Amino acid sequence: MSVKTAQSIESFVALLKRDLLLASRHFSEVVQPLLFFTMAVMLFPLGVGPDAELLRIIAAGILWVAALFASSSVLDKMFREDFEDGALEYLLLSPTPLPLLVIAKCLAHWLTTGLPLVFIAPLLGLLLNLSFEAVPLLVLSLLVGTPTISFVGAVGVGLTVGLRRGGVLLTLLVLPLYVPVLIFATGAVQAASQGAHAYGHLLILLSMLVLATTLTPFAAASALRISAEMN
Amino acid sequence: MELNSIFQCQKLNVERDDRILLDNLSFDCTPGSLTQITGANGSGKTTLMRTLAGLRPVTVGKITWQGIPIKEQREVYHQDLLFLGHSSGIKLSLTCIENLQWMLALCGQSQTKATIGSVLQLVGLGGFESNLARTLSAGQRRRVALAMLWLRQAKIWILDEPYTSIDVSGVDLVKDKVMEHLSHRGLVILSTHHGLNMTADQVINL
Repeated sequence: MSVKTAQSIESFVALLKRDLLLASRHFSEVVQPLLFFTMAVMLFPLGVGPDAELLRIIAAGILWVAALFASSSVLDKMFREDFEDGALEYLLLSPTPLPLLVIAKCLAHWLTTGLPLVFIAPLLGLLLNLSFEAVPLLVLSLLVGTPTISFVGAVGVGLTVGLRRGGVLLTLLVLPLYVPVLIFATGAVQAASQGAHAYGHLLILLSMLVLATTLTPFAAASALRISAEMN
Repeated sequence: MELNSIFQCQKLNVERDDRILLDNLSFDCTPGSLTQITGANGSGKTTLMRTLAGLRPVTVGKITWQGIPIKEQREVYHQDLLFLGHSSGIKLSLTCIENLQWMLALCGQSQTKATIGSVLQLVGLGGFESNLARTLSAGQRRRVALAMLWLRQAKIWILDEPYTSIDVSGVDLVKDKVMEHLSHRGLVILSTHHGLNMTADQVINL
Protein backbone atom coordinates (compact mmCIF):
# COMPACT_ATOMS: atom_id res chain seq x y z
CA MET A 1 0.00 0.00 0.00
CA SER A 2 1.48 3.32 -1.03
CA VAL A 3 2.04 6.19 1.39
CA LYS A 4 -0.62 8.16 -0.46
CA THR A 5 -3.25 5.46 0.03
CA ALA A 6 -2.42 5.07 3.71
CA GLN A 7 -2.66 8.83 4.12
CA SER A 8 -6.04 8.95 2.39
CA ILE A 9 -7.42 6.18 4.57
CA GLU A 10 -6.15 7.99 7.65
CA SER A 11 -7.92 11.22 6.60
CA PHE A 12 -11.10 9.25 5.86
CA VAL A 13 -11.10 7.60 9.29
CA ALA A 14 -10.25 10.86 11.07
CA LEU A 15 -13.13 12.71 9.43
CA LEU A 16 -15.57 9.88 10.17
CA LYS A 17 -14.41 9.78 13.79
CA ARG A 18 -14.68 13.56 14.11
CA ASP A 19 -18.26 13.63 12.84
CA LEU A 20 -19.34 10.75 15.07
CA LEU A 21 -17.70 12.45 18.04
CA LEU A 22 -19.52 15.69 17.21
CA ALA A 23 -22.81 13.80 16.91
CA SER A 24 -22.25 12.17 20.30
CA ARG A 25 -21.75 15.63 21.83
CA HIS A 26 -24.94 16.93 20.19
CA PHE A 27 -27.07 13.97 21.06
CA SER A 28 -30.35 15.90 20.81
CA GLU A 29 -29.67 16.42 17.12
CA VAL A 30 -29.41 12.66 16.64
CA VAL A 31 -32.70 12.08 18.47
CA GLN A 32 -34.64 14.76 16.54
CA PRO A 33 -35.13 12.92 13.20
CA LEU A 34 -35.97 9.79 15.17
CA LEU A 35 -38.71 11.60 17.08
CA PHE A 36 -39.92 13.27 13.87
CA PHE A 37 -40.20 9.84 12.23
CA THR A 38 -42.10 8.38 15.19
CA MET A 39 -44.47 11.33 15.47
CA ALA A 40 -45.21 11.45 11.75
CA VAL A 41 -46.04 7.73 11.66
CA MET A 42 -48.19 7.94 14.79
CA LEU A 43 -50.25 10.78 13.37
CA PHE A 44 -51.54 8.65 10.48
CA PRO A 45 -53.84 6.34 12.49
CA LEU A 46 -55.32 9.48 14.02
CA GLY A 47 -55.85 10.97 10.58
CA VAL A 48 -57.23 8.02 8.64
CA GLY A 49 -59.04 6.33 11.49
CA PRO A 50 -58.28 3.13 13.41
CA ASP A 51 -59.27 0.75 10.61
CA ALA A 52 -56.66 -2.01 11.13
CA GLU A 53 -57.07 -3.46 7.62
CA LEU A 54 -56.64 -0.08 5.92
CA LEU A 55 -53.56 0.69 8.02
CA ARG A 56 -52.02 -2.68 7.12
CA ILE A 57 -52.35 -1.84 3.43
CA ILE A 58 -50.85 1.63 3.63
CA ALA A 59 -48.27 0.92 6.39
CA ALA A 60 -45.31 0.49 4.01
CA GLY A 61 -46.06 3.75 2.25
CA ILE A 62 -46.51 5.70 5.47
CA LEU A 63 -43.31 4.38 6.99
CA TRP A 64 -41.23 5.08 3.92
CA VAL A 65 -42.60 8.55 3.24
CA ALA A 66 -42.10 9.47 6.90
CA ALA A 67 -38.55 8.09 6.73
CA LEU A 68 -37.86 10.21 3.63
CA PHE A 69 -39.12 13.36 5.34
CA ALA A 70 -37.23 12.59 8.55
CA SER A 71 -33.97 12.10 6.63
CA SER A 72 -34.45 15.17 4.44
CA SER A 73 -35.14 17.32 7.47
CA VAL A 74 -31.58 16.82 8.71
CA LEU A 75 -29.83 16.58 5.35
CA ASP A 76 -28.87 20.24 5.41
CA LYS A 77 -26.69 19.67 8.47
CA MET A 78 -24.29 17.49 6.51
CA PHE A 79 -22.10 20.37 5.32
CA ARG A 80 -23.81 23.49 6.70
CA GLU A 81 -21.76 23.73 9.90
CA ASP A 82 -18.49 22.94 8.11
CA PHE A 83 -19.27 25.65 5.59
CA GLU A 84 -20.05 28.26 8.21
CA ASP A 85 -17.12 27.67 10.58
CA GLY A 86 -14.54 27.26 7.81
CA ALA A 87 -13.85 23.57 8.45
CA LEU A 88 -14.92 22.87 4.86
CA GLU A 89 -11.72 24.60 3.72
CA TYR A 90 -9.70 21.87 5.40
CA LEU A 91 -11.63 19.31 3.34
CA LEU A 92 -11.16 21.26 0.11
CA LEU A 93 -7.45 21.84 0.77
CA SER A 94 -6.74 18.29 1.84
CA PRO A 95 -4.32 16.28 -0.30
CA THR A 96 -6.84 13.45 0.06
CA PRO A 97 -9.28 13.29 -2.90
CA LEU A 98 -12.44 15.20 -1.95
CA PRO A 99 -14.90 12.47 -3.13
CA LEU A 100 -13.35 10.13 -0.55
CA LEU A 101 -13.92 12.69 2.20
CA VAL A 102 -17.49 13.17 0.97
CA ILE A 103 -18.04 9.42 1.43
CA ALA A 104 -16.82 9.75 5.02
CA LYS A 105 -19.27 12.63 5.60
CA CYS A 106 -22.16 10.66 4.05
CA LEU A 107 -21.31 7.58 6.08
CA ALA A 108 -21.22 9.57 9.32
CA HIS A 109 -24.50 11.25 8.37
CA TRP A 110 -26.16 7.92 7.65
CA LEU A 111 -24.87 6.31 10.86
CA THR A 112 -26.32 9.16 12.93
CA THR A 113 -29.59 9.82 11.07
CA GLY A 114 -30.53 6.89 8.82
CA LEU A 115 -29.45 3.91 10.86
CA PRO A 116 -31.48 4.83 13.98
CA LEU A 117 -34.62 4.83 11.79
CA VAL A 118 -33.88 1.25 10.78
CA PHE A 119 -33.95 0.17 14.41
CA ILE A 120 -37.19 1.85 15.39
CA ALA A 121 -39.08 1.02 12.16
CA PRO A 122 -40.14 -2.56 13.11
CA LEU A 123 -41.86 -1.27 16.21
CA LEU A 124 -43.72 1.40 14.25
CA GLY A 125 -44.56 -1.20 11.60
CA LEU A 126 -46.30 -3.34 14.16
CA LEU A 127 -48.10 -0.25 15.42
CA LEU A 128 -49.55 0.14 11.92
CA ASN A 129 -50.60 -3.51 11.84
CA LEU A 130 -47.93 -4.44 9.29
CA SER A 131 -47.84 -8.22 8.91
CA PHE A 132 -45.00 -10.08 10.65
CA GLU A 133 -43.65 -11.46 7.36
CA ALA A 134 -43.20 -7.93 6.01
CA VAL A 135 -41.23 -6.60 8.99
CA PRO A 136 -37.83 -8.11 7.98
CA LEU A 137 -38.32 -6.66 4.49
CA LEU A 138 -39.14 -3.26 5.96
CA VAL A 139 -35.87 -3.35 7.92
CA LEU A 140 -33.89 -4.56 4.90
CA SER A 141 -35.38 -1.97 2.57
CA LEU A 142 -34.57 0.81 5.05
CA LEU A 143 -31.08 -0.59 5.58
CA VAL A 144 -30.37 -0.45 1.85
CA GLY A 145 -32.48 2.61 1.03
CA THR A 146 -31.50 5.13 3.72
CA PRO A 147 -27.78 5.25 2.77
CA THR A 148 -28.89 6.03 -0.80
CA ILE A 149 -30.84 8.97 0.65
CA SER A 150 -27.72 10.30 2.39
CA PHE A 151 -25.53 9.91 -0.70
CA VAL A 152 -27.97 11.43 -3.18
CA GLY A 153 -28.77 14.16 -0.66
CA ALA A 154 -25.08 15.09 -0.40
CA VAL A 155 -25.18 16.41 -3.99
CA GLY A 156 -28.11 18.66 -3.16
CA VAL A 157 -26.44 19.83 0.05
CA GLY A 158 -23.25 20.60 -1.86
CA LEU A 159 -25.20 22.75 -4.30
CA THR A 160 -27.24 24.66 -1.73
CA VAL A 161 -24.78 25.02 1.16
CA GLY A 162 -23.63 28.45 -0.04
CA LEU A 163 -27.16 29.85 -0.05
CA ARG A 164 -28.39 31.59 3.04
CA ARG A 165 -31.76 29.86 3.10
CA GLY A 166 -31.00 26.69 1.23
CA GLY A 167 -33.06 24.36 3.43
CA VAL A 168 -36.38 24.38 1.58
CA LEU A 169 -34.75 24.53 -1.84
CA LEU A 170 -32.68 21.52 -0.88
CA THR A 171 -35.79 19.52 -0.02
CA LEU A 172 -37.42 20.51 -3.33
CA LEU A 173 -34.27 19.50 -5.19
CA VAL A 174 -33.72 16.09 -3.65
CA LEU A 175 -37.22 14.73 -2.90
CA PRO A 176 -37.98 13.99 -6.58
CA LEU A 177 -34.69 12.08 -6.76
CA TYR A 178 -35.92 9.78 -4.00
CA VAL A 179 -38.95 8.63 -5.99
CA PRO A 180 -37.27 5.46 -7.38
CA VAL A 181 -36.09 4.49 -3.89
CA LEU A 182 -39.60 5.02 -2.53
CA ILE A 183 -41.24 2.96 -5.28
CA PHE A 184 -39.01 -0.08 -4.97
CA ALA A 185 -38.76 0.04 -1.18
CA THR A 186 -42.50 0.14 -0.62
CA GLY A 187 -42.87 -2.41 -3.43
CA ALA A 188 -40.58 -4.78 -1.54
CA VAL A 189 -42.51 -4.44 1.72
CA GLN A 190 -45.89 -4.79 0.00
CA ALA A 191 -44.76 -7.85 -1.94
CA ALA A 192 -43.62 -9.48 1.29
CA SER A 193 -46.84 -8.68 3.11
CA GLN A 194 -48.76 -10.41 0.28
CA GLY A 195 -46.49 -13.43 0.57
CA ALA A 196 -44.65 -12.80 -2.72
CA HIS A 197 -40.91 -12.74 -3.33
CA ALA A 198 -39.32 -9.33 -2.75
CA TYR A 199 -35.78 -10.14 -3.86
CA GLY A 200 -36.19 -8.32 -7.16
CA HIS A 201 -37.15 -5.08 -5.45
CA LEU A 202 -34.32 -5.45 -2.95
CA LEU A 203 -31.76 -6.08 -5.68
CA ILE A 204 -32.87 -2.97 -7.52
CA LEU A 205 -32.58 -0.99 -4.26
CA LEU A 206 -29.12 -2.45 -3.79
CA SER A 207 -28.06 -1.47 -7.28
CA MET A 208 -29.31 2.07 -6.61
CA LEU A 209 -27.12 2.12 -3.51
CA VAL A 210 -24.11 0.94 -5.52
CA LEU A 211 -24.76 3.64 -8.10
CA ALA A 212 -25.23 6.30 -5.42
CA THR A 213 -22.07 5.40 -3.49
CA THR A 214 -19.91 5.32 -6.61
CA LEU A 215 -21.24 8.33 -8.54
CA THR A 216 -22.65 10.90 -6.13
CA PRO A 217 -19.39 11.54 -4.18
CA PHE A 218 -17.87 12.97 -7.36
CA ALA A 219 -20.90 15.15 -8.06
CA ALA A 220 -21.10 16.30 -4.44
CA ALA A 221 -17.36 17.11 -4.41
CA SER A 222 -17.70 19.29 -7.52
CA ALA A 223 -20.78 20.97 -6.08
CA LEU A 224 -18.92 21.76 -2.86
CA ARG A 225 -16.00 23.29 -4.75
CA ILE A 226 -18.41 25.50 -6.70
CA SER A 227 -20.18 26.57 -3.49
CA ALA A 228 -16.83 27.39 -1.85
CA GLU A 229 -15.75 29.47 -4.84
CA MET A 230 -18.64 31.84 -4.28
CA ASN A 231 -17.57 32.42 -0.70
CA MET B 1 10.87 35.58 -14.14
CA GLU B 2 13.51 34.76 -11.60
CA LEU B 3 15.44 31.59 -12.19
CA ASN B 4 14.82 29.88 -8.86
CA SER B 5 11.27 31.00 -8.13
CA ILE B 6 9.06 28.05 -7.26
CA PHE B 7 5.76 29.89 -6.88
CA GLN B 8 4.64 32.11 -9.72
CA CYS B 9 1.61 34.17 -10.41
CA GLN B 10 1.35 35.21 -14.06
CA LYS B 11 -1.01 37.84 -15.43
CA LEU B 12 -3.66 36.91 -12.93
CA ASN B 13 -7.12 38.44 -13.02
CA VAL B 14 -9.16 38.19 -9.87
CA GLU B 15 -12.84 38.89 -10.05
CA ARG B 16 -15.66 38.56 -7.63
CA ASP B 17 -19.38 38.98 -8.27
CA ASP B 18 -18.69 40.12 -11.86
CA ARG B 19 -16.39 42.85 -10.60
CA ILE B 20 -12.72 42.80 -11.55
CA LEU B 21 -10.73 43.30 -8.36
CA LEU B 22 -7.24 42.71 -9.71
CA ASP B 23 -6.08 42.98 -13.26
CA ASN B 24 -2.91 41.53 -14.73
CA LEU B 25 -1.17 40.74 -11.43
CA SER B 26 2.20 39.00 -11.74
CA PHE B 27 4.73 38.11 -9.07
CA ASP B 28 7.28 35.40 -8.27
CA CYS B 29 8.30 33.93 -4.94
CA THR B 30 11.62 32.26 -4.22
CA PRO B 31 12.26 29.77 -1.40
CA GLY B 32 12.93 31.59 1.85
CA SER B 33 11.10 34.74 0.80
CA LEU B 34 8.31 36.61 2.49
CA THR B 35 5.66 38.25 0.35
CA GLN B 36 3.35 40.72 1.99
CA ILE B 37 -0.02 41.59 0.49
CA THR B 38 -1.40 44.91 1.61
CA GLY B 39 -4.44 46.92 0.64
CA ALA B 40 -7.49 48.66 1.96
CA ASN B 41 -10.65 46.81 3.02
CA GLY B 42 -12.45 45.52 -0.03
CA SER B 43 -9.38 45.69 -2.25
CA GLY B 44 -9.48 41.93 -2.77
CA LYS B 45 -6.83 40.63 -0.34
CA THR B 46 -8.88 37.69 0.86
CA THR B 47 -10.17 36.87 -2.62
CA LEU B 48 -6.58 36.88 -3.89
CA MET B 49 -5.40 34.68 -1.00
CA ARG B 50 -8.21 32.18 -1.63
CA THR B 51 -7.32 32.13 -5.32
CA LEU B 52 -3.65 31.55 -4.52
CA ALA B 53 -4.64 28.69 -2.21
CA GLY B 54 -6.68 27.07 -4.98
CA LEU B 55 -10.06 27.62 -3.33
CA ARG B 56 -11.22 29.81 -6.22
CA PRO B 57 -10.69 29.00 -9.88
CA VAL B 58 -8.17 30.91 -11.95
CA THR B 59 -10.11 32.36 -14.89
CA VAL B 60 -7.44 34.49 -16.53
CA GLY B 61 -3.72 33.97 -15.93
CA LYS B 62 -1.76 31.20 -14.32
CA ILE B 63 -0.56 30.20 -10.87
CA THR B 64 2.28 27.68 -10.89
CA TRP B 65 3.93 25.71 -8.12
CA GLN B 66 7.31 24.22 -8.97
CA GLY B 67 6.69 25.04 -12.59
CA ILE B 68 3.33 23.27 -12.97
CA PRO B 69 -0.07 25.06 -12.83
CA ILE B 70 -1.71 24.34 -9.49
CA LYS B 71 -4.95 23.12 -11.01
CA GLU B 72 -3.06 20.37 -12.82
CA GLN B 73 -1.50 19.07 -9.61
CA ARG B 74 -4.01 19.99 -6.93
CA GLU B 75 -3.12 17.17 -4.56
CA VAL B 76 0.66 17.78 -4.75
CA TYR B 77 0.17 21.51 -4.22
CA HIS B 78 -2.16 21.04 -1.29
CA GLN B 79 0.27 18.59 0.28
CA ASP B 80 2.84 21.41 0.31
CA LEU B 81 0.42 24.19 1.30
CA LEU B 82 -0.61 25.46 4.69
CA PHE B 83 -3.50 27.92 4.34
CA LEU B 84 -4.87 29.90 7.21
CA GLY B 85 -8.04 31.74 6.30
CA HIS B 86 -10.37 34.12 8.09
CA SER B 87 -12.48 31.44 9.69
CA SER B 88 -10.35 29.02 11.64
CA GLY B 89 -12.47 25.88 11.16
CA ILE B 90 -12.31 25.11 14.88
CA LYS B 91 -15.16 22.86 16.04
CA LEU B 92 -16.59 24.37 19.21
CA SER B 93 -17.73 21.03 20.61
CA LEU B 94 -14.29 19.44 20.35
CA THR B 95 -11.30 19.95 22.63
CA CYS B 96 -8.15 21.75 21.44
CA ILE B 97 -6.30 18.46 20.98
CA GLU B 98 -9.22 16.79 19.13
CA ASN B 99 -9.47 19.80 16.81
CA LEU B 100 -5.78 19.73 15.93
CA GLN B 101 -5.87 15.97 15.47
CA TRP B 102 -8.56 16.05 12.79
CA MET B 103 -7.02 19.06 11.09
CA LEU B 104 -3.65 17.33 10.89
CA ALA B 105 -5.22 14.08 9.72
CA LEU B 106 -7.01 15.87 6.88
CA CYS B 107 -3.65 17.32 5.85
CA GLY B 108 -2.39 13.74 5.72
CA GLN B 109 -0.22 14.14 8.78
CA SER B 110 -0.31 13.09 12.38
CA GLN B 111 1.35 14.03 15.65
CA THR B 112 1.26 12.41 19.06
CA LYS B 113 -0.89 13.90 21.79
CA ALA B 114 2.29 14.82 23.66
CA THR B 115 3.62 16.83 20.70
CA ILE B 116 0.30 18.61 20.24
CA GLY B 117 0.20 19.30 23.98
CA SER B 118 3.68 20.83 23.95
CA VAL B 119 2.80 23.05 20.98
CA LEU B 120 -0.37 24.20 22.74
CA GLN B 121 1.84 25.04 25.72
CA LEU B 122 4.06 27.05 23.39
CA VAL B 123 1.21 29.09 21.91
CA GLY B 124 0.00 29.96 25.39
CA LEU B 125 -2.76 27.38 25.76
CA GLY B 126 -1.07 25.22 28.38
CA GLY B 127 -3.75 23.76 30.64
CA PHE B 128 -6.46 24.18 28.00
CA GLU B 129 -5.60 21.02 26.05
CA SER B 130 -8.76 19.19 27.08
CA ASN B 131 -11.07 22.20 27.20
CA LEU B 132 -13.82 22.41 24.64
CA ALA B 133 -13.09 25.14 22.09
CA ARG B 134 -16.49 26.62 23.05
CA THR B 135 -15.03 27.71 26.40
CA LEU B 136 -12.11 29.59 24.81
CA SER B 137 -11.97 33.27 23.88
CA ALA B 138 -11.76 34.40 20.24
CA GLY B 139 -8.03 35.03 20.61
CA GLN B 140 -7.47 31.62 22.18
CA ARG B 141 -9.41 29.90 19.37
CA ARG B 142 -7.22 31.72 16.88
CA ARG B 143 -4.16 30.42 18.73
CA VAL B 144 -5.44 26.86 18.35
CA ALA B 145 -5.60 27.36 14.57
CA LEU B 146 -2.17 29.01 14.61
CA ALA B 147 -0.74 25.94 16.38
CA MET B 148 -0.90 24.31 12.93
CA LEU B 149 2.15 26.41 12.00
CA TRP B 150 4.18 24.36 14.47
CA LEU B 151 2.54 20.99 13.86
CA ARG B 152 2.11 20.80 10.10
CA GLN B 153 4.95 20.25 7.65
CA ALA B 154 4.46 22.43 4.57
CA LYS B 155 6.68 24.29 2.14
CA ILE B 156 4.40 27.21 1.36
CA TRP B 157 2.35 29.15 3.88
CA ILE B 158 -0.50 31.38 2.78
CA LEU B 159 -1.68 33.31 5.82
CA ASP B 160 -4.68 35.59 5.50
CA GLU B 161 -4.62 38.14 8.32
CA PRO B 162 -2.88 35.81 10.79
CA TYR B 163 -2.77 38.51 13.48
CA THR B 164 -6.54 38.92 13.74
CA SER B 165 -7.73 38.86 17.37
CA ILE B 166 -4.42 37.79 18.91
CA ASP B 167 -2.51 39.93 21.39
CA VAL B 168 1.02 41.41 21.14
CA SER B 169 2.73 38.33 22.56
CA GLY B 170 0.85 36.18 20.05
CA VAL B 171 1.94 38.42 17.18
CA ASP B 172 5.58 38.05 18.26
CA LEU B 173 5.17 34.31 18.51
CA VAL B 174 3.80 34.06 14.97
CA LYS B 175 6.44 36.45 13.68
CA ASP B 176 9.26 34.32 15.13
CA LYS B 177 7.72 31.19 13.65
CA VAL B 178 7.44 32.83 10.22
CA MET B 179 11.13 33.87 10.43
CA GLU B 180 12.08 30.31 11.35
CA HIS B 181 10.08 28.93 8.41
CA LEU B 182 11.82 31.38 6.07
CA SER B 183 15.25 30.38 7.40
CA HIS B 184 14.40 26.76 6.46
CA ARG B 185 13.82 27.95 2.88
CA GLY B 186 10.09 27.97 3.36
CA LEU B 187 7.92 30.40 1.48
CA VAL B 188 5.40 32.71 3.11
CA ILE B 189 2.67 34.84 1.55
CA LEU B 190 0.97 36.91 4.20
CA SER B 191 -1.72 39.55 4.14
CA THR B 192 -2.12 42.03 6.93
CA HIS B 193 -3.23 45.56 7.50
CA HIS B 194 -1.39 45.70 10.80
CA GLY B 195 2.23 46.70 10.81
CA LEU B 196 4.41 43.72 9.96
CA ASN B 197 7.40 44.02 12.40
CA MET B 198 9.64 42.32 9.85
CA THR B 199 11.00 43.10 6.43
CA ALA B 200 9.13 41.55 3.58
CA ASP B 201 11.12 40.58 0.49
CA GLN B 202 8.37 42.04 -1.63
CA VAL B 203 5.24 44.00 -0.88
CA ILE B 204 2.26 43.80 -3.20
CA ASN B 205 -0.12 46.66 -2.70
CA LEU B 206 -3.56 46.04 -4.13
